[in-house]
Amino acid sequence: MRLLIVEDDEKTARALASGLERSGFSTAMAHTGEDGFFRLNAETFDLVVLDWMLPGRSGIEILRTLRSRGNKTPVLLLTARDAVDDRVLGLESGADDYLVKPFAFAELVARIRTLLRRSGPNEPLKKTIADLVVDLESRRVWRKDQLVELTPRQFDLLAFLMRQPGQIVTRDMLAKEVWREANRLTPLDNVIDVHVAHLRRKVDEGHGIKLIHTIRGAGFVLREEANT
Amino acid sequence: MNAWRQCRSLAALFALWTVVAAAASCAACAALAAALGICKPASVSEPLVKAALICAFVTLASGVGGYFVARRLLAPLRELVAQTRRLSAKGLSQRLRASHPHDEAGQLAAALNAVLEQLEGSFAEVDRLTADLSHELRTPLTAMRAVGEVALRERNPAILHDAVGSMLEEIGRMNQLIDRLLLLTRSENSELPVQMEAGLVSKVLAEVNDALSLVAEEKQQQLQMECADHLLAVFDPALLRLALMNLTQNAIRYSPAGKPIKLRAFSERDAVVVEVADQGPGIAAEHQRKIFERFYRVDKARSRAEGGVGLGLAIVKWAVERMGATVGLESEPGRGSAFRIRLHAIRSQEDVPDR
Repeated sequence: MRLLIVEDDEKTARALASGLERSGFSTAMAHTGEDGFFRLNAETFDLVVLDWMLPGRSGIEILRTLRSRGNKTPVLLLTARDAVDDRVLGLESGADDYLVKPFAFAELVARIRTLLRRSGPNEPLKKTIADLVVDLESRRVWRKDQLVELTPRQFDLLAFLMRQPGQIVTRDMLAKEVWREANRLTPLDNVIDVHVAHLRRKVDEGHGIKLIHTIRGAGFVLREEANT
Repeated sequence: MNAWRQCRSLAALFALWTVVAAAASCAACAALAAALGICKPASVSEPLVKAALICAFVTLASGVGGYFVARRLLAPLRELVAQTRRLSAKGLSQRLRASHPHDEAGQLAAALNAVLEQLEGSFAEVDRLTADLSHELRTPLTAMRAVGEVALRERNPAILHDAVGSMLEEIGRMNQLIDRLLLLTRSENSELPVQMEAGLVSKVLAEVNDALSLVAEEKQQQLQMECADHLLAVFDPALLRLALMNLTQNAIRYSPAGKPIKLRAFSERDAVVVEVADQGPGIAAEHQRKIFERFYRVDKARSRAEGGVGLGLAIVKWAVERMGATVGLESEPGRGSAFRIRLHAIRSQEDVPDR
């Protein structure tokens, strides 16, 4: 998968590029609107990460021109603006998704994966990692063939982690996707931490291989790790 | 024309009007005299010339007199202008003084003083907020810098990893602070949609209870919910939940382990009161009035260590007031605090009258 990053702040662009390459994407960078527009016309990308505020041609202008020419490359718009009007303007101009700066890198990766997956195959209803099996349809969970009793919230939490194994999931992502909390003012960090702790107790306690891990300052990740 | 606009003053205008009025009355007198046959306009007699001269003199004299009278009358106004010119954004504590507080100039001075009072308040608020904000931002920056500088000398990857995590935590906190502050200021200026509806208070209380009971249990606290099922009020569910989540999390944060926290709702006259009461340390009277202000902390070091950014209660007040409701506090040091939100009640058929 090849991504184009159009971002005028070189430090940010380089950090994004190297992070995305580590996540398995190949990347190209453009630091001005003109350059980005030129590359989009000359080459084919699977997805564009596009900054709104660019010197020269703005992200929105590029996006509109791109769409008016029938180019359907998925575009993830990055912006420091977070007023509702701007969000609407961004999406109306043809962006597929929208991320407000400063964002968690984990969330960027998750959004990119979602956009790329949109046209991909349906996800399987049973997911497995190590000896943990999660059945998304019957909403049941087994660890080492033993049924684990979870509350509905704990199940949603685990299912969300299970959809992006090995990827960091931030508290903001959980608030939005699992708690369905659109309002960023509502304090949920404590709530999330407590629920993750309870889930971890049920899933990992008594097992040599731990699956649910807290990454300090970033969020949580589901991966196999012997005794941390 | 331009020259007139430049030197146009109320005094000159008044003088002009006096001249016009005097001339008109002279003309009217002359016309009246002619009509009554006192003198014949055909024969230009000496008395008529005399009369015309007198008229001209009277007109001129009343113009000059009018100008001076007007100047004198308007003197307090000119004095106010001079005083106002000396005002500046820096010296907003000054007030205008009028010699007679009850005449028009005095009233103008009073009105301007009221505006000054408000401006001074807003400027002081901005100053305070800027000072507080820079302090709030500098604290995590200091921590990050210290952690980063120590980490530079470190070789152990596990410790380095932890340092980066710690810096990210601080960044997260700064981010949260800016997010909240921005939402607070923005909503004070422009309108975010408020969706008021008639709803059951118990439903929102139950949601808050569900979300936070586990958090309370972690601190060996118990959330006790007391609410009749049928209490109907007008509110925006998201805003009410936001306010209650903040209040309840504060209660959990500040009250010691083992002490219960009560979430209650009851009707009181034409209001439904939603209360979050704890048995924590309580809030001293001198802090109670200021506690809803942005960045106001009773115990600066402690609340930061507990992870707050100093905006929780400001957000509560903002959310409650957006619903046209009020929030109050009753607290006694050593005995605990009770925050009460008063919502407009709705009487329905199922609603039992006051108990």
